[in-house]
Parts: sequence; C-alpha cells; structure tokens
Amino acid sequence: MTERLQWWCAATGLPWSWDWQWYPGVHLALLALAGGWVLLGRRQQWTTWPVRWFAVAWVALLVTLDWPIGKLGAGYLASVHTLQFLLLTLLVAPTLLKSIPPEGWDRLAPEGTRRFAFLRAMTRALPGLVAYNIIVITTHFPSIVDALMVTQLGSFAVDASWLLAGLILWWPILAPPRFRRLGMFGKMGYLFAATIVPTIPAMMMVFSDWPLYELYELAPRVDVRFSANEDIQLAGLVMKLLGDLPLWLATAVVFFTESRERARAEGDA
Amino acid sequence: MRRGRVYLARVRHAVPLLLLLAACADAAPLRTAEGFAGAEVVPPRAMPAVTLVDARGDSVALPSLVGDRVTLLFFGYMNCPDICPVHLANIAAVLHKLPDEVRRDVRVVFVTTDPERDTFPRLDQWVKGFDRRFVALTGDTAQIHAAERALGLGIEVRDSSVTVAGAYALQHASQVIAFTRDGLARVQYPFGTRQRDWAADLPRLLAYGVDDTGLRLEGLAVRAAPVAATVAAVHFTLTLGDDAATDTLVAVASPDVDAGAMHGPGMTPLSAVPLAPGATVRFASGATHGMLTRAAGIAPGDSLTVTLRLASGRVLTRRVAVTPVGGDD
Repeated sequence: MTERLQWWCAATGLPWSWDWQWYPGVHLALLALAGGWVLLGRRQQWTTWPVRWFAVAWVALLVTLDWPIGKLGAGYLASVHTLQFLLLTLLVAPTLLKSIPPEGWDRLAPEGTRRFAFLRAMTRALPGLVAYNIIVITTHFPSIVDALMVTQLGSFAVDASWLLAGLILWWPILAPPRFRRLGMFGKMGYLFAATIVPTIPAMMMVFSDWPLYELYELAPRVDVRFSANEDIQLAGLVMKLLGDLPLWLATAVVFFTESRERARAEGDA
Repeated sequence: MRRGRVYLARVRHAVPLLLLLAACADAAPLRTAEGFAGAEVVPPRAMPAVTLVDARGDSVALPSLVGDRVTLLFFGYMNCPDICPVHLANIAAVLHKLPDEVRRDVRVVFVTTDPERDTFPRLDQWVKGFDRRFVALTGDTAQIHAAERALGLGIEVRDSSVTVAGAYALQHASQVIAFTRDGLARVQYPFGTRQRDWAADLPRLLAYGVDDTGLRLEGLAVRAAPVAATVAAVHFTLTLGDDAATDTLVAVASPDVDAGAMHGPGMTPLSAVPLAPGATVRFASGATHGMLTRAAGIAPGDSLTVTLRLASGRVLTRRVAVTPVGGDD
C-alpha cells in the first residue's frame, strides 16, 4: 500500500512494508545537527575536534530515527520502540556530549554565568536521576505512548524527550572536570541507581498478562509468527538486559579509569 | 535539603498533569448494556441458515455451529494485511491463557470473503496457524454474502486501487460476532477490541443466560428425517445443580413450530419429567425425548428456537439447527 509522505516516523495503522520510505524531517534534523556542530566548532575555534564521537552519535541517530527502525518502532513493534529508547539514551546522548570538547563547554558556559550554574547543578546525582526517571516512566506510560505515537509531533516529542533524558543521565558522568562534583563511588552509585527505575516498565512488559500498549497490540503484524504478546515480552527483556549492560560497562570504565588516575596522582605526589 | 523539597514539589505538580494526559488518551470504549466490550446486536440474531464447506470438503450448516458453546464468527480473508490476522491472533492469545473450561467452550469460526484466492488446504493451515481449534469455512460467494446480510454486515468490496504485495485488497466488515449458548448473536466486537477485553468478556459470554443454580442444558439437538417430515425429535441432557431444590420439566416447545410434546419410551406422552438435585435427565433416541410438530414440515438445515419450561418458572431457550436423524448427538 502507498503511504502519504510523513516528516517524522509515526504510527499509521497501515500494513507493514519493507519498501524504503523517506522521512524528510529526520534527514533535515540530522543535517541541522551536523551543520550546528561544525558551526559551533568554528565559532568557538576548537583546537581538537572530537570527530569520531560526533560520527558515532550522528550515525546512531540516523539508524535510530530513520527507516526501518524508526518506522518499526513508531507503529509496529514495541521491542523496536524500546531499542530506540536504549539507542537514544545510552548511545546517542553520551556520544553527543563527548562530541563537544572541554574547551567548547568552557565557552558555552563560562564560569559565573547562569548557564554554568545550571550545568553544574545538573552534575549532581539527584536532579539527574529524578529528571531521567520521570521522563522514562512518563514516556512508557501506556495511555501516553498510545496517544503520542499516532501523531508525527507526538512521536517527535517522545524521541526528543528520550534524547534529553539521555543527556541528563550522562551529564554527571561525562561533564568536563570544571563542572564535576561526583567522585568515583558517587558515579558508580549513580549509574547503579539509574538501572533501578527502568526495571518497573521492563517487568510490567515481561510479566503483564496482556500487551500493555494498544498501539502495538493492534498494529498490523510485521510477521504473523511474531505475536503482540511475544513482542511486548521481548521489549521488556531488551529494556532490562540490553539497557543495564551499557550502564554496568560504564560503571567498570569509571572504576578502572578513575582508579588509574588516582594511582597516577598518588605516584606523582 | 531545601533543594530536595523543591524537586519533590515539582514532581508533585507533574502528577496531576500525567493523570490528565492519561485520562485524555483513554477514549470511552464501546460497551453494551450488559457491559460487554462491543456493540449490542439488537435484536439478537440467529445464525444464518446458510451452508458452507469445511477443510474436509464437508457441508457445514452455520446454525449447527451454535448452541452449547459460545461461537465467535468472523468474515475475512487470508491476504488481509491488518484486521484479520490481528483479530485472530488476539483471540488465540487470550484463549491460550484462559482456563480449559472456558477455552473448550469457545468456538472460533472464520469464513473467507475471498473464496477465489482462499482455497483449502492453505486457508485451513493459515487459520489453524493461530489456533488449531479454529474452524475455517469457504463456500459459494452468494451463500457467504447471504450470511453476511443476515447478520447485518456490509458486503466486502474488492479494491484494486489498494494492493498488498501486488495483490488486490478487500474492504470488509471487521466485526467479530459473538453468539451466546442460546444460539443468538448478542455482541459485535469491532476491530480495536483488545486482549484484555476478550479475556474479560469470554467467560461472561459463556455464562450469559446460564442459570446460577447450576441448571445445565447440554447437547441440545433437533433431529429430523432427511426428507421433509412434519415432526422432529429433541434430544438433550439436563442437569440440576447439587444445591438446587427439586424441580420438574413441564414442556419442550418452540415458537417456530405448531406444537411441542414430551414422550417416554414407546411414545408414551409425558406431562412432566422430575428433576432431582444433582441428577441428570437424558432425552435421547429410543428413550425419553421431545417432539416438535409443524404442518409445513421440518427439515435438516432449518433453524429453530427450542424452549424448555420448568415447574419452578425457569425457562431455557436455545437456537439450534435441525440435523438429520442419525447424526451425532
């Protein structure tokens, strides 16, 4: 079946098709992001350009939002929708933060400015956890998902809120030293705490008797052999198992990196 | 500490907004007066007197598929890319999770609206792919249309402008029609009926019209000679609940015939058949049975409403298809 041009992936209720579909809004947003990054770097006259971090973030964003993952997640499979959540919060967001060098952050938020005070406040554990968890719970609430994902604006809002949630989550870990307040054990505890609340929607998906989301329960099947019930259970498993893994890895990286830095500092002393 | 309180206050402000959003998103669902999650069939309709064909090539009179159990009837087609597979998959998923006693008393019948393309054995394999107990039927297009019309459903329209994988699509009725144990269509479930609705409704549909004292009517069948005869035998088993008071069956009747009667062995007329608590009374061939008489004739394939009256005032009504003498009870 032919579909009307959509700017952003949203549920249409139309049968799934493997025919490629163009989403101009996604491509324009990605072009704007790339252009904005280059302009920012030039204006701030960065001496180092974290091109690899930006490339990873940009490609991950393209894969997450564009056809086919964007379309599958927006209107067909809850498991792919969850995968998008993980990609945006656990891959795109931290790599985007890393794609601005410390000197860039210095110029974006010079000390003594309101911007600096805000970003510094956001390196604390409580605001990060509270904001991240509110966004996670809200955007997985069945009636909210069912209402938002059927419009392009609503679907865009969900994607944007997940990216924002990821930026908020990773800022206390990745903020340049000038902003940082959490110590090694603080960061490790923070990352562990971040795995707790998403367990609630994940377990609801796995153990619910019936599919949580009307949208995905009644969506045309991508393959009749993969039922809506299996899909929502897989979504829960993806959220818990794949979602926790990057946070555990990050905890290990924090431990080894900061231990090495401490040892080096003690050796220097 | 003060900052912590500020954050909590902000969270508290967010809660009503979330609840409001949740409330807005939940549109008022369709409900019948009895609380079923669909549209009421008014007046309740009998199963159309139409004969179709099953996977073995046997003729199946649609009225023979009602009575005793709840029957869910759905008209659709195999190439349907959305509504048909979703309806069937959701019903199958729910039946899989419901207790055995519910599952075995629900019959799902899928009638193809695209007999040209949906041929056996593919159609049967496709339907049984959802649940091996589902029944697939096909038949003459005129017969299928007659059945749809009799149930007040729209007739499918071939839409060549819309193609699915290069093949034409059909615009067709998306409702699943639920027939209760009395053989009448009571509820139409539209597309959008969710698994949790089916899970709540199927046990209630099974209990619909069933006496809460444990009075149970099973195996109701009306048997007629293959060639038009003026009489037909009524067979059934009737069980009174263990805790019920003694009762008496006083009449086997039907508004669709001229007269009803009860006979003992040797055709002895009976005016009453006692029912003891916990006991089962069997009306069968060569034993006690009911008899319906109609001067215009009763033939296999006819659909009749049969009524059993008890001295206590209770009435059991079922719609059944007449089957030939010698058929299985």
